[in-house]
Amino acid sequence: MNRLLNWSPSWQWFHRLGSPRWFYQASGRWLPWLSLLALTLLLTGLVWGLGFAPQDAKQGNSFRIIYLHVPVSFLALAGYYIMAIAGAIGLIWKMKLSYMVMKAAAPVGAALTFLALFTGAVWGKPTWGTYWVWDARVTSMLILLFLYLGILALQYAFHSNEAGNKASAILALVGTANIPIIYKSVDWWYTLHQPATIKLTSAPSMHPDMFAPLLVMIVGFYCFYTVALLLFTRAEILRRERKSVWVRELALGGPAL
Amino acid sequence: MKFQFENITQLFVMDGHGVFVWTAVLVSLVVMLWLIVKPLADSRAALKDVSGDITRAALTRGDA
Amino acid sequence: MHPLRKQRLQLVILIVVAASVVVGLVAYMLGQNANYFYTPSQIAAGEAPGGVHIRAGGMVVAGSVKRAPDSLDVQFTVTDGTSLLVIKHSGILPDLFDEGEAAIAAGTVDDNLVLQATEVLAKHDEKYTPPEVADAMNQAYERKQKQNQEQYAQ
Repeated sequence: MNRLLNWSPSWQWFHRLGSPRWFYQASGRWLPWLSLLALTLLLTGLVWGLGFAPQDAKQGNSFRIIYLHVPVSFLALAGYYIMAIAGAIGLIWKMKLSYMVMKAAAPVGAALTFLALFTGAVWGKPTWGTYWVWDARVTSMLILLFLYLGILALQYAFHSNEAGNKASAILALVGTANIPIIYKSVDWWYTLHQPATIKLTSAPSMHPDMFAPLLVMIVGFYCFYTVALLLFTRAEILRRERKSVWVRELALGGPAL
Repeated sequence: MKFQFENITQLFVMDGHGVFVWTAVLVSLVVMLWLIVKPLADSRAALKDVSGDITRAALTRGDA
Repeated sequence: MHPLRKQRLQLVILIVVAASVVVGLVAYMLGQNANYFYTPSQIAAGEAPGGVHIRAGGMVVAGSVKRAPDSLDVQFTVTDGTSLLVIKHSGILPDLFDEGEAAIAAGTVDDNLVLQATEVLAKHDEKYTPPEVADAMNQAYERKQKQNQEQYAQ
């Protein structure tokens, strides 16, 4: 085991991935395709979900908010793991790029968590009869927003330096404890929020005509998340690598990358 | 698969739920647009900063 | 792996495990306090404090909703399958409030174990069905019940 984990040529890809310059060039090639895919999926899913999916027997048309609420909530949670894992890689391997990804994941995650809470609120009014409740699900989701904002604040306060990166990574890792709690809150406690519709272990409790556009939206949001994360990371690369030769060449319109 | 509303107006009204649904859509689109525009603007600004620095350095050396 | 990196990896795992244990313990201690509402059984057993603002929830019993003809006063019964709880409220009910659906009411439990509610919220389930499918399912359900009744009568 130890032998396997020892330094060997098979780790080269990992260290090449850690090169900001390589990442900037490669992501520049991926972005057009990813953006096109995200745009196509999101437009298809939105038109399908809002105009063509049948309405819900009990909730009527207000249920259509699900086509935004569920995908943004999925990514708000998944994005936290991405941020925490990036922080962990930064701590262990001292990889510069990894810290940049961690920093980039914070605003994207915060924005999506805000959207999860906002779309939940405007869905809550016509269904529950209130915009906001302090039940375990909504409250733990609010804590997630504060965790994201905490990382943003740390990065800002420490000017993204080594100490700030370490502190952010540790806060991100500590905060991962909140994710299973958010997910299981509807099962562990009596909440106003209903249990999960989509589960890995069983078929979704949703008619296939309604589920198909939701699936398109979820995949679309995964692509959108990747695009946003790459864009924020690239901005951070340019900012932190501004003294390097390749960024200077890029700034002067030098060799196309 | 068929269009669920009689006309476009009905699509926006949605039996009175339209205000909630379309508020959610509009706010989501604005936030998502920000997630794209903000990093692009930051990148542009960063590159402009670098090229500005280089030009200034060249000017002070007097070889521009 | 480099021994130093291995050491850092162990530290990272330690942070995650420690944080999860701490947060898990806090969540466990919060236990019932983190519940958004009490069930009718808990209130019948006297677990909910009297005279204090609490929330109670359950399924609205079919045929239990009585509305006053000249005011917004309404009374209904909720159940969790074992106990019943009478809720009195004066105000508008949410659109999704219906018999056979779940509802949550906030207010104080009086001496007669009746919840005097200041707010009523509707709780919906995680199932989504198109109207035609729901109608077909209801019809099938009614047919089956009718069949059962006929069999029972014979």
